[in-house]
Amino acid sequence: MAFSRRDFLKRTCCTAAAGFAAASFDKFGLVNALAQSAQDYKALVCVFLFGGNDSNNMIVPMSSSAYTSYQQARSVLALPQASLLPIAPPSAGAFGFHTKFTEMQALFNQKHLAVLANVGTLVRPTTKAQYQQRQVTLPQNLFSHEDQAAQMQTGALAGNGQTGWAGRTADKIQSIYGGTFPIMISLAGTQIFCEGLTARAIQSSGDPTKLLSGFNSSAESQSRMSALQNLLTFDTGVSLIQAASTTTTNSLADSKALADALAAKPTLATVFPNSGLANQLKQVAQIISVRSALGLQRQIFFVSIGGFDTHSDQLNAHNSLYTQLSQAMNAFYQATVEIGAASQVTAFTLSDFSRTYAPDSTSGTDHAWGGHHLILGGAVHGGDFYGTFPTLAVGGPDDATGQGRWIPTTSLDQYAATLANWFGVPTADLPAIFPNLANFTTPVLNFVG
Amino acid sequence: MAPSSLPSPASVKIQAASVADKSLSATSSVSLQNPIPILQSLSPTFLPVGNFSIQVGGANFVSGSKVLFGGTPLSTTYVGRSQLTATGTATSAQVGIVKITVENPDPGKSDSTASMNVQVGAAGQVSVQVIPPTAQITAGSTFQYRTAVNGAGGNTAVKWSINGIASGNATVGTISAGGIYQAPATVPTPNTIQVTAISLADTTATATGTATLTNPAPIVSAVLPTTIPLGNFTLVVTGQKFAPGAVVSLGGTFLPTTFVSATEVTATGTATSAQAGTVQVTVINPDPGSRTSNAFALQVGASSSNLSAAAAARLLEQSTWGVNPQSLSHVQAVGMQAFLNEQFAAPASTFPAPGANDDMSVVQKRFFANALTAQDQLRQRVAWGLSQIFVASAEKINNPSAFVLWQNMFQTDAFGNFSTLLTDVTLSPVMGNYLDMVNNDKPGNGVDPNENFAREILQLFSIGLEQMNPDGTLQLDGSGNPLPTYGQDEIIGFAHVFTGWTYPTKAGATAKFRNPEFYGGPMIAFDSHHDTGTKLLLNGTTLPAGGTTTGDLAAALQNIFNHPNVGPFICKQLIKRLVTSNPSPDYVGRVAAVFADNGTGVRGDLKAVVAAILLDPEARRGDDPAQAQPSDGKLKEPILFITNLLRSMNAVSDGAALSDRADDMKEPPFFSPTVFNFYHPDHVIDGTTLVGPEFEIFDTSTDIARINFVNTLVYGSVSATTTVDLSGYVPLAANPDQLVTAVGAVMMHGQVSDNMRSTLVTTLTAIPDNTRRAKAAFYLIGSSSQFQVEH
Repeated sequence: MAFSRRDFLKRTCCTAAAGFAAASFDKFGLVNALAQSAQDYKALVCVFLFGGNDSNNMIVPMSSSAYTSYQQARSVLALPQASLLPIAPPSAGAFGFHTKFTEMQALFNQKHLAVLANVGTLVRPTTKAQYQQRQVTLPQNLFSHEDQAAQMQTGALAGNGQTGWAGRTADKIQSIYGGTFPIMISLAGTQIFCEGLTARAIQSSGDPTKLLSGFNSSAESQSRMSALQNLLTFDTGVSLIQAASTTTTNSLADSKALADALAAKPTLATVFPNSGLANQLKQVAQIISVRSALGLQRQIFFVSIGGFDTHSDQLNAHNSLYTQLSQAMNAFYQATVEIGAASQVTAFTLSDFSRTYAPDSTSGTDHAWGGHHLILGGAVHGGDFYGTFPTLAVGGPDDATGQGRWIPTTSLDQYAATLANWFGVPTADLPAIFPNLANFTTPVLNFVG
Repeated sequence: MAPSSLPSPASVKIQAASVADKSLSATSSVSLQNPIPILQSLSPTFLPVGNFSIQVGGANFVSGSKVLFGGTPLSTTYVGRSQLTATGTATSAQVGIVKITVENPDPGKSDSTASMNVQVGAAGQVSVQVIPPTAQITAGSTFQYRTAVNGAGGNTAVKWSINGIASGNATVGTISAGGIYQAPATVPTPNTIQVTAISLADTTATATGTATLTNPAPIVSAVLPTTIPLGNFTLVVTGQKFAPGAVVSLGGTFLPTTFVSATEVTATGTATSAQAGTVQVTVINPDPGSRTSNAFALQVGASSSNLSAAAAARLLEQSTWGVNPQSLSHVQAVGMQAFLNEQFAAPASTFPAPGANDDMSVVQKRFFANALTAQDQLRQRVAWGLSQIFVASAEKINNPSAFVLWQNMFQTDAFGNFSTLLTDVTLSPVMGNYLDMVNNDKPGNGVDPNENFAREILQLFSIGLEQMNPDGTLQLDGSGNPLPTYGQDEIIGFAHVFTGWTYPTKAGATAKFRNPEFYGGPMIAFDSHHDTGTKLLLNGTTLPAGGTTTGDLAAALQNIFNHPNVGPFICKQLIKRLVTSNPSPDYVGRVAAVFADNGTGVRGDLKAVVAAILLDPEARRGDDPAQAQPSDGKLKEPILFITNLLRSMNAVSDGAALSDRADDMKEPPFFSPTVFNFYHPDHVIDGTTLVGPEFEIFDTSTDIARINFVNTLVYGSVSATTTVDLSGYVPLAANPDQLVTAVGAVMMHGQVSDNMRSTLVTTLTAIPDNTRRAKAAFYLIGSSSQFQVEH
């Protein structure tokens, strides 16, 4: 993964001193305390809501007639109007956030949070008639968790994509910004989002700085460590063994490099709540705070929270989930302020799909399609809605199947391309990363940058 | 109040004075007397002719009290108000019953009102027998001696001695007051003992038995290594009851043997080609009482049996929770088919009903305990594999009673018919709750039935999303696109079938729809809450209107079961659970054909399917390294990784703490994060085009967690109730190459590559201590990719 010295010198922004001197970052030749300008740093943070988030109750229309329709259609699942937290996006009118979105409401009003309405997987713009008569190519296996969650991460809507759109973005960015330490880090285990053709990601489902135990400076211990590493280098002729050896080799190097980089910096002062998502975002913030030591100008992170597959008992589930989401994302934003990188970090949500507007017989909802997503950061043009809000009517013009499954009015490609473009992918290079982008009139939206 | 003992003189004056006028008073004289004695107990109650001493218990005794023996006062010692001791002589004229009384002296001389009897016995009247008079006792064992004592008036107490030593000693053995003899660990010389009992009633009455001490029959647990090449060898034999001087016999040839302890002996020798094949190893304890142990089958040189060590080990990797020397030897001795037959017949291990205060950790603990020790290894592997297809998780249903029933269901159905399993899963309230079929109601008030179970039973539990060929490959249309097996309309159809079911009814309660949460039986049906419209099922089948809850369900499950996708869809996943992540379409096709028809016209025979999976040439080709393909094998899932290590290290464990370690590696039993199991069956390994489901949870933190687990197991302690035993390997460590071979035989089916062996031997040779060498060998192999991926 090393790049040439000529590439390194091309980066006039870099005032790197001695080069790859620091012994504690052997594998990557990372530089300790780079005297590098902090200006041209950017990070994308994907917050994936696994299970399919019913965003119809995350964002609710508040104008009198719209709320009344909402209440009638959603019946047992309708949130009381008094409980909603009012927001006033200039482009969309009177809306309210779910009652647990206290921090999100504040961020929206401070113009750091934006909403992208009714976004989902689409090959090309699709009307209700076209859907029902199968007149256009549709994404494969709509309403299937595995397929839709994968497609939101890969942008490949037919068949098995082998790379994620973040991976392809990193492939492209790497040739511009160089660097040997992986650009992408997932703290939610292996995710196809982070798989590129050439760019490698660190994938961890726990603490990524945990090291091997049981070794000391004795000769026997060192000899045993050497043997362990030596065994990893053999070509055994068994593909899965080679894959396991590669993973182990990388894991040992990555965890050591991260541990060393983080050890050099004090812990952030921003207080994070104690939840799975918050713990992941706290790690992300810590890693961003040592981006100079890692020699990185571009980073992509993936974190996740599960439990959104609310086929039953949706109201209770959302109270807990939205509290977690709002508090964790707010703490993360505050941490980026503390780091001094708030306008250089953009966090955004994705989910398998949204859910049926009409409830089912167990106080829950079924799998649907287009849903609303959140974008958060100092560079975001917050305080407003983007995209086209669907007509919230069961059986209405945007309902694909009759239970209130909204056909997306903005595609995943447009959403992701906007983020990738802000991140540094030149506009001309976007179609190579997002194959369906050319089918849409507006490839890049204006919610960030 | 009178004093307890008489004053002297024995009369007192009592004066009363008026309080009102102290000058007024009067006196009276009182004479005090001794009380009447009370007689309550005697000891002993039998007196042999001759001098005796007797203890008398009672009340109101005074100094000067006398014990009367047939009316004659005895020399009596006052011990206390309630006890006297007296001595005397019984003559032969007094043989028989003699009355005992107590007499208090003047003032107030009196006798005890009651009397008690003693029996006076003639000389030689008491007889003692030691039972049995002769015995053969093995060293280290316990033996109960008894006595028969007659003529002592019911007094059967004796005291014991061995070879004249009261209660015996460590050399000749000890004996308790109750006659329990503990033989010494080592047979003494000479090896006969005298066991003597002496009557406490008449200490001249004794009896002596004799016993011959012999060596016990030795028991062999394991012989390491389990395979030896021709030429010089060292064997380490572990077991129990080895005696100094024990000899190892290799197929009748006695080997020079070193006695290490009662549980270990080592032997050396040279194996010749005449001895090649499966040879029975036994241990023979020396005289006295020389006996031969059970046999352990050792493979010498190239195996002359049909089954190589590598083949036996690979089959065990695929069909059990891990290889150990005993199982390896057994499979080589009986062959694959016989081993599978044993496994199919082995009774299902169970999960006992949890106690009221138990949580899921109790069930998890039992899961590991069963995996480590229970005989039904294959049944457990298949049950666990099926539970990774039909997923329900304690993340949602954190109820140990429910999960015990759930896991027992898989154990019971593992070798039955797939249609039975499908029905049992569908009607389980665990699944009913997990995927919201329980209390799913017919349409009403603009609300439709829940579609969750309808989706997942098709997508995950039976046919998948896309039409398959019989070999599991996807059918494609003219444009190369796969064909869906169902659409939203079929989902709606099945969702309406799955209405009208609720939890079973608790004892004593009244059954109703929306019964309270309870898992003690299958779900029950309520036609009044079942949708009665037509329902579109698979392959264009429509259920007519008016169906009952149970009738529609049975028809729908049959409709699913008969879909041609079921065989390849399920078989491909079972192959991935047991054998390899990348089976060829031909392999899938051969197994799916057995699913379609087991040979006697039955569809869905899981036992036949499992046998087909394990005996298929593609599963077996790796037995010969030259036949293995680069894409063969699979990464051990965390639970299998843990049990493999424990079984290879002869671990004893109650399962505690192992689930926490499995959780570090992202596979906590029963706590799948979603209905999609811990990993997707079609997960593609990053950077390759190969499938590797277990790689989905093999990342930076779980990878290091696995290696650190090996460290804890080898060099630390997993828990207070988990111990490993590498002692059988320590003597082999004197020769590092031999050690690598022995560990490799158990952990890597004997296929350690040359460069791996070279690295290991170099590292081990530099370690001066044999115990640390053995540990290092297990650490380095256990943490290697070559072990983590079985192939």
